[in-house]
Amino acid sequence: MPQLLAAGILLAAITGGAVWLATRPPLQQLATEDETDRLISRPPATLTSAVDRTHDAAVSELEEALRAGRTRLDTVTVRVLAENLQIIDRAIADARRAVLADPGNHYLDQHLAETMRRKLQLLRKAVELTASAS
Amino acid sequence: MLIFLLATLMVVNPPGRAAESDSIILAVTRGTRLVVSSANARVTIHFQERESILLPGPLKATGNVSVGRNGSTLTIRPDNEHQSSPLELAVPRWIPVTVSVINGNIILDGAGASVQAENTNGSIEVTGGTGLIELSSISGRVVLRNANGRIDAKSVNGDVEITDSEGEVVAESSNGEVRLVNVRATSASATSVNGPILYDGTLVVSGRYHFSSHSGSVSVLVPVGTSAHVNVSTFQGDIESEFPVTLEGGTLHRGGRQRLSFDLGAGGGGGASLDLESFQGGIRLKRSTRGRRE
Repeated sequence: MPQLLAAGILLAAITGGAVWLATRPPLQQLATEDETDRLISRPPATLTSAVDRTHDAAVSELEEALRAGRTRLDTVTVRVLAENLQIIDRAIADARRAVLADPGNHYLDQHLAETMRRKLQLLRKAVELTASAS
Repeated sequence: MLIFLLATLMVVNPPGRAAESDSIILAVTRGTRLVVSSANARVTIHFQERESILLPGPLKATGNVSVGRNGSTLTIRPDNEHQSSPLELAVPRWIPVTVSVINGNIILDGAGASVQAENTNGSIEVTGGTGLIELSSISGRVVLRNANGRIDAKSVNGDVEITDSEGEVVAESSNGEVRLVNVRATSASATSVNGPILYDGTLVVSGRYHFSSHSGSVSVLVPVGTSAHVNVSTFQGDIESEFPVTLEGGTLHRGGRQRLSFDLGAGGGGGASLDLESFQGGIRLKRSTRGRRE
């Protein structure tokens, strides 16, 4: 699974780069844990479908990997990622409410699935960034 | 890393020499791929009718760089990853390139082969490119002009703009606008979560075109004479068409708040397939002033 692969890459990067990380001079101001907490946000869980559970599990896995490596990202990148994850979360919440209001609407189902896929895609990218920043 | 240990040419800046003598020329053969990576330096590559790579002098301006070869791949990167002075190269037009920068803009001018460019903070501007063209930025704007091939242009937080290009196009942004202008796409997908979408280009017979935004509007400028089957979906937005809309079977397909299908031109399955979706934004079908370019 891509997220497991990403988490593996992250782990390898952390292990291999530990010494270098400890000694390198700062390039940019790295994000604090408080700042990066904004990366890990949870959309309102209003649905409990199998698709949602699968999605939520994948999101949790990636968020865990991101949490482990988040402070290696600079503040600008963290801010951009956080803002965009929030934008996508809002879109997911909108789409979920719409699906509940209009069940069986093919467009809304697809739109929700596509927006959830986009969140996974961005989280994967964020995890890749933490790995490459190590 | 091994590449650099085995085959690294250190280009040292000789102090006090003239700019011309500081220039470095690297011979390359056809089939070579150029990989340029940088942590903090802006990268500018000029593609020219030449058969070698030129690192213009004086190197005081660009700092020292490492050059490595591994098979048919030539790698260039700043010696010091903390270096922030710009890296500028002149290379053969035919050479395919991969450019990776963390913090810094990427400018590729006049590419004649495949292009891959990726950065985290900074814009990407590419002119030219054929074959596979992949551009990806986290926070910067992505601009592509005069390209031909399989185009994949993405930005998380910036706008994506593709102009005067042709081929199969995928363009995506989360928080930016996506604009495809004067694009002769055999197929196209443009999506944004929070930004508007504009497509002003051809809709070829049998081509598939999908444009979607969550919060932004979706606008398509349709050339005169286009034949297409159109599916339009929106939840909270409105729909405007400058074309007469004849609904399939004379009925409005209401799967949601606004959802309808209709044919433009001859339609009837022989034209393009055009899917337009916006959850909250308006959907606009307008006449293009460019005329039919198929």
